[in-house]
Amino acid sequence: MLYWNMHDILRLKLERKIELKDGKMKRADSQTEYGNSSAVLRRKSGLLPIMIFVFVSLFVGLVGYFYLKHEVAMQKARIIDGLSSIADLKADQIETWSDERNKDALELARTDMFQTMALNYLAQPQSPGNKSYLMQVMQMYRSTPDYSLIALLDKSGKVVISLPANIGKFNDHDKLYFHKAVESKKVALLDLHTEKELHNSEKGKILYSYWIPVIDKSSANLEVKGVWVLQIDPTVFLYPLIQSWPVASKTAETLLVRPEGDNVLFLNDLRHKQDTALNLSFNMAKNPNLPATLAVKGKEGIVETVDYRGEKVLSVLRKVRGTPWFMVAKMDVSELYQPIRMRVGLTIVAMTILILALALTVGYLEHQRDARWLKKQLVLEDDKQQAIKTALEHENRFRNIFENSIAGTSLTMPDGTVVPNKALCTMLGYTPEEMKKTWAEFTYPDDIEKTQKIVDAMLAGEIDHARFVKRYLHKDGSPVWADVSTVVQSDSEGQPQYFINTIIDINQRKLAEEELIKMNRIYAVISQINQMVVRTRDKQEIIKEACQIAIDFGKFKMAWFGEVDTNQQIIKPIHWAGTEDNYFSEIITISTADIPAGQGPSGRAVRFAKPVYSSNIATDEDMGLWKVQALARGYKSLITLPILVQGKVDYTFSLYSEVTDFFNEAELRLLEEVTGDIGYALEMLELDNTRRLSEAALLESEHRFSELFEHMSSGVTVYLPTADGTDFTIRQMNSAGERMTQTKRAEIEGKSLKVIFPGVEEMGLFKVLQDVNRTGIPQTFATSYYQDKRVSSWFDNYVLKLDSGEIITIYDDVTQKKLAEAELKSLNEDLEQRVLERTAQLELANREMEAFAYSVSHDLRAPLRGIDGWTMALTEDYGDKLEDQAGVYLARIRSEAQRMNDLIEALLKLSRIGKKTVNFEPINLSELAAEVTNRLQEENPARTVETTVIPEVMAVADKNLMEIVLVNLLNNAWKFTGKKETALIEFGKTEKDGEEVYYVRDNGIGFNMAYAGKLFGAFQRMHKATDFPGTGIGLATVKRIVLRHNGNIWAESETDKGTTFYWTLRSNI
Amino acid sequence: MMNKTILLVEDNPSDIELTRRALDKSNVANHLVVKEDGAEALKYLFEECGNSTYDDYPALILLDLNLPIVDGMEVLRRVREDPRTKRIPIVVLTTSSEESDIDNSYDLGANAYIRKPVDNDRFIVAINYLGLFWLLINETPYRY
Repeated sequence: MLYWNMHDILRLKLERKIELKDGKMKRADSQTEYGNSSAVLRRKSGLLPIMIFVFVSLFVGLVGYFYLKHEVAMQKARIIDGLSSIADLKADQIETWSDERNKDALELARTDMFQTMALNYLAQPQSPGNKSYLMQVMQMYRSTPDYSLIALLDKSGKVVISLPANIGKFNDHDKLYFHKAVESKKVALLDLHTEKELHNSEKGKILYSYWIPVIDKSSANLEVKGVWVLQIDPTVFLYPLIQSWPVASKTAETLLVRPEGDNVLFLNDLRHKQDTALNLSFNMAKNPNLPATLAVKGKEGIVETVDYRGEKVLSVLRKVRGTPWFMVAKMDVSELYQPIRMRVGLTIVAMTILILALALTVGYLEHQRDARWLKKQLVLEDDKQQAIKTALEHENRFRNIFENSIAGTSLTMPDGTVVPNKALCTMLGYTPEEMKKTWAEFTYPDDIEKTQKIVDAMLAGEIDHARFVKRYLHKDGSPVWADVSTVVQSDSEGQPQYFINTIIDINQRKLAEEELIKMNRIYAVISQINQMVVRTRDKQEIIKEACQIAIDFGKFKMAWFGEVDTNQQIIKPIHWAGTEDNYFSEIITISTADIPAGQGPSGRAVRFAKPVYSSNIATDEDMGLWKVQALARGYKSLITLPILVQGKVDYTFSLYSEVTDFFNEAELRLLEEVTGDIGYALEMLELDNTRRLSEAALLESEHRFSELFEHMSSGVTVYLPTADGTDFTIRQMNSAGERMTQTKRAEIEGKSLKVIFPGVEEMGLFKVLQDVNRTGIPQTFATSYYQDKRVSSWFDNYVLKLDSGEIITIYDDVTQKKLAEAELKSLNEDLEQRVLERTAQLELANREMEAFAYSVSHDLRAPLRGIDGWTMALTEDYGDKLEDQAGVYLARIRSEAQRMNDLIEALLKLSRIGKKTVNFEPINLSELAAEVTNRLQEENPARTVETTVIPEVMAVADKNLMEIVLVNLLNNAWKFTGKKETALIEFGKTEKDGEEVYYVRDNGIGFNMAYAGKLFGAFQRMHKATDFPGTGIGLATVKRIVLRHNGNIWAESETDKGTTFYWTLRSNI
Repeated sequence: MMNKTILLVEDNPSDIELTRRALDKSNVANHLVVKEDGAEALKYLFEECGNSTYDDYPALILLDLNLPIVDGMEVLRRVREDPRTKRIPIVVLTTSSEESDIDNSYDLGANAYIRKPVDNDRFIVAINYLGLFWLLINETPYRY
């Protein structure tokens, strides 16, 4: 439109000239004149430009159409890709889950121990042991949250025990499965159904149960004694899994269906309809094209039909293997094209603009030619002077038109100064005064060079006009896109005088184009991230790839992932891609708290759990803390997306653009979707990870225990009782066990205990194993002998039962120890026998000795008495007739007889000591010793003896015998100090070699230690009888007494210096 | 009273004579009846004494323990069992100084226990006192 004005100026100029020349004619009939002149002035236009316009428009239209068609196809492929991935993922998860439930039920059916426990309980419900075992099993099952109920029913179908307790009764429909389990003797599965009876918490619930028969294997026809019921609550895992949709979508949903007669039954609640679980069903014949019907009919893959609401949908159908269920993952077709709707609009706008621009160009070129023709006419028609004059005359008018033109128009002088019109000033945001500059000053720096080239070419006369797109610089610094047409005006010599420029603001169009590119990139990012999270199973990898995708596909300047540290309330950058240039080492730490360092987009995104963007970092006050570093790296705007994992912001994902105003609400909404995808993927990974970690911990612990098991020095064997309880199967044995039993585990594992160790019953261990298996109480089976063809050894056994029902024996080969013991025992027995024999001999000897002593005391004394008596009679009757010397001899006879009597008396005493029982009691030896010394002093008042008795010497001994000891020893001391002027006698107690030793010491004549060996023998004397009279029996008696006190006695002596008798008493031993 | 007899049950001839000698010295020897074994002693007591028209049970029995045929303990027991002789004073006069012999003798009802010393001087003193005590000082029962 705008360059018509230029054309009009020329036309007016020409007309004026013609008017001036043909003034008369004009005045005569101006209308006609004008009409004629118009006809003269109009150049005939050709058909060619219109043709070009039509062809080019057609071409542009076709390109646009195919582009859109391609985009739609791509979008559909992407959606199908996504739907299939999600359907596969979910179906796999449901299959895994259902598989686990099947295994649980089969375990209950096939594990002999569980069966036995149930049988035991059914047989004897009142036994507390049976009940507690059963409860343990049931609690174990109930610990999986999927199981809402586990119950045991008896043969009649009555609930005998259940967890939770008091559940009421099952309805008749449920009972069908009870009978099915009883009759088939196999596990019966009651698919998802609504429970109508049972207790309150189960009633009305949708459940899914296994009916597992309890079979008495010992009965002839494998009678079913009861049935286990395992009830599963699908709301725990199954429904949440079906109903969750990993990607933000308004219409997408998953349904689980199953055939029910002629109908297809919906198993879960739907997104678009309430209470559909087990309620909504459709007749398959009447609705053959429902996705659900198609799925149940066995179709798999992708279909595009109408769903239960009558909406057109795209569905992916899958059979869920191992279950009677089919899965439909679907999305409305209308939503399918939602994301590209905008793109279609933009494409159409762009095409329209393009066609319009084309029309303008064609029109412009046509009129340019027209103008040139007019100019030529002008030159021909008018003389040069007149033309200039006229032009000057109309300067004001021209300027007026120029100034008021709604298009930007300017004249550029060869020196570069510009004369703009108002429209151009407005376009660039300046007042006319401010606009008195050279063109380069308000050209966007990047475009100066390009413009200069064109100017140079025109000045050089290579071209006389040009049209191009360039950016001007708005007063606020932003670029303004413009379509510029310029024509050089030359004087008659062809010298360029000025350029006439027409400037059309195409900023809006450019922005729309940029927006389109931006959107394309963001879609690419979303699509790439979606594909990436489906295939990537590693958290770090997801984070890394997400950053890289943002750079590669989103063309962002920089992208980073931050991890939220809730303890320190900070965000730690964990990964980034793009131009970082040590940004993170320079900026201050980003906080999540409501403090200045937490006011940036990241901090707020974490606090509000919403995406936050900053459209111009340079002017954003909240970015004040990071502005300098960000701008230095060319970051102009940014967005931070919070990543929610399990409802909590764990990470932030920030994208930096090198242009301002990159982010707006539209991008924000799209990018929010990315956040959801990454969050979902991370959440899934976290769940996965937790499971893997616990599995690894379990493996490690198992490894540890198996090492322990293997390297124990004791033998360990693991048995599993057979179902009938009459034998045990060898499960495992460690290497010590192999060594001790001389077996190879590979050969015995899985074999019967009785077969491998035939001697085990005889040994007694078998009974212990059975006891432990029955009672569960560990038992020690001490040293026992085992023998078969291979082994014959003694074992110490310890038997225990594991929770798993396995029986463990821990044993040591004690054969060597046992042999040593046996040898020792036989030695002991031998010794005992010999001692017995010896004792018997000694006793006999003692008795003979006593009889001998007794007869000596009687029979030897009678003649003595006779000798004495008759000697006395002789003296009395015939004393006067005998000589004096005869009387002396007779007295000698009598004294010798008396001496012999004394000897006999002493011998008798000695013999009696052996006969007496020793009566041990605590006694004060000091008191006894004092009594004896006092008596000696009384009997011998003439003697001066210094006696020292150490007080309070205590002993546990026989008081009478100790008195004999002290009397003898003190008598001796008294006697052998008789020739000393100052006799010293001491009684006391000392310690030698840690033992209490009693002593009697004197300073008497002593004896030669060379003869000390004879000291304690009977009738052994160390001194002449005339010097020291005595029987020679006293010390023998003392020794006898000390020996009877398990003690010892010895003497230390030195001739003329004195003697010390030491003795010990071990009465306590 | 001096006519009362003393029964000496003793098998050793030397002891018999020395006892008799000792009793002579205290003037009681003319009433001494000697039996050399237990059987004879019992026969004397139950057959000869009981048939007399007058009371001729011995006023004292001096009893050795170590006797042929029937030993002293048996004699003591039988005498104490019989109502006719149960009150006769019996003095055990023996060489044994075994505690068991002494205790058993008293248990069976002996009135005294005297160990025969080898020293005859002391024996004579003992016998003298015995004779004097049992025959002259001690009041005998009215009836045996």
